[in-house]
Order: sequence, then C-alpha cells, then structure tokens
Amino acid sequence: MTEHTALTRRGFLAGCAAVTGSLVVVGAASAGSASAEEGVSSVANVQYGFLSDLSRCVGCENCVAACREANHLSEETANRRRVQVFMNSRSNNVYVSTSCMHCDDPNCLRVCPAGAISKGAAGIVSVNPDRCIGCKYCVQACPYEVPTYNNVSMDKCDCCLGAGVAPGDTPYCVQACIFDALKYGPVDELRAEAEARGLAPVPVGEACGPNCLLVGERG
Amino acid sequence: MLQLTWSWQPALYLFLGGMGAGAFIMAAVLFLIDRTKHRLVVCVSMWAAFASLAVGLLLLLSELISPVRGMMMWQSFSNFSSWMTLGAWGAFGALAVFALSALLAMRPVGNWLAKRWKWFGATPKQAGDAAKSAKAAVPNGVKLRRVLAVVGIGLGAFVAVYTGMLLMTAGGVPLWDSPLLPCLFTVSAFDTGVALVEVIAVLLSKKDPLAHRAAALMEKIVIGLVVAEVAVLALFLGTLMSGDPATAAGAAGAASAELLTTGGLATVFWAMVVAAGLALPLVMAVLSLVLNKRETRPLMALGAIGALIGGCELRFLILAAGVHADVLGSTVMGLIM
Ligand code: SF4
Ligand code: SF4
Repeated sequence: MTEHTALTRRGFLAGCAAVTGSLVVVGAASAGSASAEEGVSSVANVQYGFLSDLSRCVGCENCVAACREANHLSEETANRRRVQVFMNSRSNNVYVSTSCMHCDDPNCLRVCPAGAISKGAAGIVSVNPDRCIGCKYCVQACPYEVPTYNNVSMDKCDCCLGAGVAPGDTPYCVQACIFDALKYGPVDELRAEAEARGLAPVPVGEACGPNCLLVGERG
Repeated sequence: MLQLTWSWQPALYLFLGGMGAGAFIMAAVLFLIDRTKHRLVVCVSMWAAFASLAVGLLLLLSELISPVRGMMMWQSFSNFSSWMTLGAWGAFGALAVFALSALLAMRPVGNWLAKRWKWFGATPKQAGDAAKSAKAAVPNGVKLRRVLAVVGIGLGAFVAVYTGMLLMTAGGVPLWDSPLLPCLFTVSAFDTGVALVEVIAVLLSKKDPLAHRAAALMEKIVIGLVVAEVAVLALFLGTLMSGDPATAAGAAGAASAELLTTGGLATVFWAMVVAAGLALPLVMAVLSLVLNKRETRPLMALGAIGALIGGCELRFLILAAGVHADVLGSTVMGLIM
C-alpha cells in the first residue's frame, strides 16, 4: 500500500516537473495527462524510421548486442535486430542491419486477434506482452518475417520504448553503431539527407509501407 | 525450406474444422430432406462434426503460448479486423449449434423434452391442416431442429470458408495470398465432410442402412466436389507457377508451388492429395453409380477414406509450403548487383 502511494506520488512529481514553467496548480490527474500529451505531441504524428547504410556496415553486430543488452532480452528470445550478409557482383560481402520496419499500415496489427499490437507516437509499432496470446499469426502476416516468439509472447523491436527511450529518441542499436551505418529519425528527413548526399535511398520492399531505408553499396 | 512457425496443430485444426463443418452440412441436408429416415446416421454424424471441431479448437488452443489467456475470448478475440477473431467466434457459435442439434437428434432426448416441455412436443394446428395428411403436421420440436439445421449449415459454411480466409488474409505468405485458397479449402471441407458421413453410414449400415436414394445423392455430390476441387487446385497452382519471378512475392509463390508439384513435397502431394484424395473417391463414386443398387458399401468406404487422407494431407502441405518471400534479399540484390 505504502509502496503504491509512493509510486503514485513519484509519478505525479515527475508529471509536474515535465510541465515546468506552469505555476498553475491543477489536479493530479489532469497534470499527469497534460504532461504526457505535451511530451509526445512533437513526434506524435511524425513517422520515424531507420536508415541502413550498406556501404558503411562492416557486420560487427554491435547493434544486435546493444539491443539485446538494453532491452534485457531473455535467453530464449531471438535477436530483435538481424545483420544479414549478401555478396555483390565483385564477390565482396555486403552487410545489412534491419529490424521491424514500423510500417505505415502494419499487417501484424491488422491480423492480431487480441489487439495486442498498436502503432503509437513516432509511428512506433509495439506489442503488449500482457495481451498477446501467442498465436503466431503476426509473423505469417508480416512481409518481412519480423515477429519472433519466446515463452511469454511475441517479441520485436519497439525502438527501445520498453528500454526507457522516449518516442523519437535514438534507440540503442543506432547509438551503438560506431561506423555510422545506422540512422534513426523522421523518415522524410532521413530520405532528404541521404538524397542531399547524392544517394538514392530505397525502402525495404513495398508491402505495408515499411519505414526502413537502404542506401549505398560496399566494395 | 519449409514453413515451421505453425506446425501440426494448426494444420490438423484446419482439416478437422473443415471436415466437421462439411459433415454437419451433409447430415443437416439429410435431415432436412426426410426427418424420418437415417435418424442414427444423422445423429452420429452431427456428434462427429461437433467432436472434430472441438478437438480442432483444443489443438489450436494448445499451440498458443498463453492458452489460458486465449480462453478469455472477449479479450483475446476482440480485434474484428482479423479473420482469426471472426473465425474464433464463428467456430464457437458453430460448436454450440452442432452440439444442440446433435443432442436434439437423440431419440431419448427428444422424448424426454416432449414430456417435460409442452411446447416442444405440441403440434400446432394451422389453417388448412385438415386438408393435409397427418404426416404433414410437424411438431414444434422438429421445427426447432430444422431451424438449428439451417443455422448450422450457415455457420458450417462460414467455418469452412474461414479456414481458407485465415491463411489468405495473413498477407505475408505468397502461396496463401490468393482468393483461390479459400475456394480450395471450402470445396475440400465439403468433400471431407461428405466422406466422414459416408464412413459413418457404412459403419452403421447394419442398424441404419442408407437408402439407395441417399447413397446416390452422396455419390453425385462427391463427383461434383472432386471435379470442382481438381479445377480449383489446378488453377491455384497454375496461377502461382506463372507468377512474375522478378518480384520477391512472385518468386516465392512459384517456389512454393514447385515444392508441391515437383520438389520435396511432390511425392506426398501426388500420392496422397491427388491419387488418394481426388482420383480414388471419383472412381469409387462413378463405380457405385454404375453398379446401381448392388452392394457398394466397400466402394463408398474406400473412396471416403481416400478423401479424408487427401483432405488432411492437403492442409499439412499447404501450411508446410507457405514460405515467406525474401523481400530484403531482393531489395538488397537490386542495390548491389
Ligand atoms: S515490419 Fe512486420 S512486424 Fe514490423 S510493423 Fe511491419 S508488419 Fe509489423
Ligand atoms: S502472436 Fe501475439 S501479437 Fe502476434 S498476432 Fe498473436 S496475439 Fe497478436
């Protein structure tokens, strides 16, 4: 009981701190919701996404490891980010790091019977493990075969929301890439920046409107 | 490469659900044609339909990561843009109607109800009844069973279609992404349902021999369904094999179809789905009709068992061959080659 009260008070204080500048004392409930809205309003309607640069990725898998660590993935949970290797016409290896594409119109969300998948601020598609029944319909629906399953529920990238990263802030995988091969930001900006550098970014496929762009070539 | 996320439980469920739905429809049609004949065959078939669907649903539940949460249907099947939700409620409703119909088809239950519940046993008099024969007067209980039969036929048809819609509307697997798949599964559901009723009729032939007219009706239905299934199956695989190999989805669809017809699954496909599941029932049905009025029970049983094997194997193969397209691979290759 005391613990619960303490938590509520802490939440309330955090809410008040977030609306700094406001001297008007309002009810605890409205203060909390106002701060929540303000915190995300700048990114609420902006679609964020990833950019994966094939010419810079060396396949070190720092991103994969950082993701596992930051999100405390259990042993039986598969990697949320995958680095796949391809061979180009000069027989050089090309590495590509991808995770969930946080699609515009996600198939996974449409087919989930339990309504466990939602698309929220910054266009992040995330799963509620307390709602998921583990029917595995979502991976059959995802054109990119992203969802995986552990012994609790479906598991996939949520842009580190669960690891405490606010919507729109840089996820741990991108922070971990010392070769600058991964970027995170509003997709429109990512595309414009790449084009300004003379690159021609392409989305991974078309189905569902994926928000992961690929650029460049290696070798 | 095979699809391994959904293993044998969903495959068996798609078969059992379809077969149960088909069997109920066939039994209900027999009942609606003449309620005085084949009481036992109708009753046992309805119970068999109920049992198939129930076992199928239990199998599906057992495959979930959280079966207990799955049983909280109001929460776990609440997103109605998903065919899994529509199917879960449809199958649940069908299960209830199948059980009720099967229960009321039992003579002791009917007698008991008629004794306890006046309305059930009463035969309402209608204007003009005097002109009709005594047989035309129908007790309320029978009317209720007729309504249940019609509702059950509707729900059964929905369940049969849904087993295909579930795969089609997933959207990530090119093999399944075709309106011909629900057609195929629906025809096959009816086909296997008729086969189950045939097996039951043969087993019960001492106690409740099948009237010649009913047997001929079922054989004709079998011929129609097999012809339809061959056409749909050929069109389904043909469309996939002529898919555009330049696109990831087209290539994956073609690869799946080849896996079934010439690849690693081909032996099982041709032997069990085509030979046992389609050719055998067709030959047996034609022979039975030709041998008109002679002893055709062994032929009927053989054809029916073949149809059941083929229908079951069809679900396993379509699931196993349902691989994803390599979308990332084809995008990257487009960039680096
Ligand atoms: S990539 Fe797959 S899992 Fe991610 S949002 Fe799109 S459909 Fe859903
Ligand atoms: S596995 Fe979980 S998240 Fe995926 S569709 Fe089923 S209930 Fe939804």
